[in-house]
Amino acid sequence: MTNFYTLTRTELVEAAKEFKFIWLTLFFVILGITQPLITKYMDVILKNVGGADGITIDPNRPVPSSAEILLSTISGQFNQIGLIILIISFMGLIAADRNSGMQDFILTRPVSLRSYLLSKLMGNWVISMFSISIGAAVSYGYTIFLFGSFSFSNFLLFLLLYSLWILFVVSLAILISTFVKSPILIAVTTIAASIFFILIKGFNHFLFQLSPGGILNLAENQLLSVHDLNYFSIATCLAFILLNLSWTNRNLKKS
Amino acid sequence: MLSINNLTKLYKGSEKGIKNLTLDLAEGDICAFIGMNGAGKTTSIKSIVGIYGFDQGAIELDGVSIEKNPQEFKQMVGYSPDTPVLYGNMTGYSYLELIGSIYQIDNETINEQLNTLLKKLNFGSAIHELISTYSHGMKQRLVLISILMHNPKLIILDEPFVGLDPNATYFLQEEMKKRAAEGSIVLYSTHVLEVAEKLCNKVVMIHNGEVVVNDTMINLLSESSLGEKFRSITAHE
Amino acid sequence: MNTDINALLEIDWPQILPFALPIILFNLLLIGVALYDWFKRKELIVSPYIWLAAIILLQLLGPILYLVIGRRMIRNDYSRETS
Repeated sequence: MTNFYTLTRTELVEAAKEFKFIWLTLFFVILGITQPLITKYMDVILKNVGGADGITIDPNRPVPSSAEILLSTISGQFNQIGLIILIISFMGLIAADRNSGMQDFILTRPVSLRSYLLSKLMGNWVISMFSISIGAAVSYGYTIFLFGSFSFSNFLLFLLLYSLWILFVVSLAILISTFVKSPILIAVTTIAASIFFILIKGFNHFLFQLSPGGILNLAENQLLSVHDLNYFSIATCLAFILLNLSWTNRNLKKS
Repeated sequence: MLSINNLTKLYKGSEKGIKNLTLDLAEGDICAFIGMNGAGKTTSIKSIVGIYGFDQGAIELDGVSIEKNPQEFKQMVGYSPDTPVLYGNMTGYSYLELIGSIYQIDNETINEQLNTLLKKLNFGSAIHELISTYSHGMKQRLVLISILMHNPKLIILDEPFVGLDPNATYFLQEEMKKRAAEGSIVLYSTHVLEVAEKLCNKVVMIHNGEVVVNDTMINLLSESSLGEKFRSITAHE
Repeated sequence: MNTDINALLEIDWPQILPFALPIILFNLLLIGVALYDWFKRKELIVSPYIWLAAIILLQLLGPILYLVIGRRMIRNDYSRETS
């Protein structure tokens, strides 16, 4: 366990030296403020930018609620372009380690494969959640400022559940990088798999609810104040993360 | 005591690799791995240090098996790869601290070891500069320090003399002799046969994945020089 | 898109500023980080001037793609140069 701590710290210090914390956070902050601001000032923008003569906006259209704005920020921005950038930034994870020989460095030291993998998972999850949390918090601030209040505890709960989804995506990226050598292919495959899970969570069948994307439904429902919540998704998500890790462990042992 | 029994590791879908390597090395032995490029030297070495799993055989160091007890085994090994791999964003010193904490060496021992090793390798103040600014030779010297810090029982070096300056070469040869005399086992791959003749007491030659010579240096040299032996083995290709 | 210069003048700036200001500000910060890193690494990376153009011209995506991908595409001859 001391090795797990040492390796995780190294991972985080390396990321800090590359300013990853700063630019990834800036990116998510920009994503987070764009949605509420564009929605709020839609008519002003359309009126001023021109070319919108043909488009008229119903002046009586319902003003979207804070919950709807937060939801579209998360599932529209964070879960699409945000997720893609996040996964591309992971692709170096194990592939770069292998190509640069860093994996050999780890494998020849008295470090268990488990602490190596866990440190990768932990390190990248912490970096991602640091950036996403700040981005989401700024988005939350803008949203309640522009569209009215929204329960902070629900927002926190949402963030907590969303972090499990990110943990799953990191473990998926780690697993895929043991199958595929090229970093670009790793990123493409991971993105495709994640989007697949995001898509099938929409189907209302209990089999689909058992997929790792189910945790996203649960998270989004925190924003929508739905009462019939499927907390079972937490267990399935954790199970999938464990599955990914043990599969990775096996693949690395074989090589 | 390092005992390698019938080690076989073949790459999937090819005949390349290493077949039936059996090797026993006792404390104080310095053994040279000799063979052409692609003969299987690096494959064997990477299997012994735990980078590759192997298909068959057993590797034990003082009765500790690498398969059953990998962490205990690796704690006793110091391995230098053919190309040094380091965290570029770290200073040499923080890198050594990282290694130290992985082997769970306390800071006092690290500093003690560093004082002697750094002086011998003429590192000077460069140890506090970023590794990415180091030359190839400096990186190699840093790796050498990092694998000797924990006084490994088994020292494995993959072509260690490539890129080292004469002073560092001298240091490494003396260090290998000294560590062997103190009870370590040294195993290294090389293409420089003249040095191996002087330095080693055992020699293993590998050709196309097969062990063709596994003997003591005295026995072998009584027949012919290493160079002649090597040419006669590789001639009928 | 109406590119007539009059359109720019007609924009109701006070109304649009609260919308634009934070986004512009954070974008400039991100471009700043990317440029800082680019200056440190322009000798090392593959096709640095294409990346420079991307950082400055493509808003949001340019800097972020440089930071995620471009800075890692190190020229192969680098290791040999330093040895």
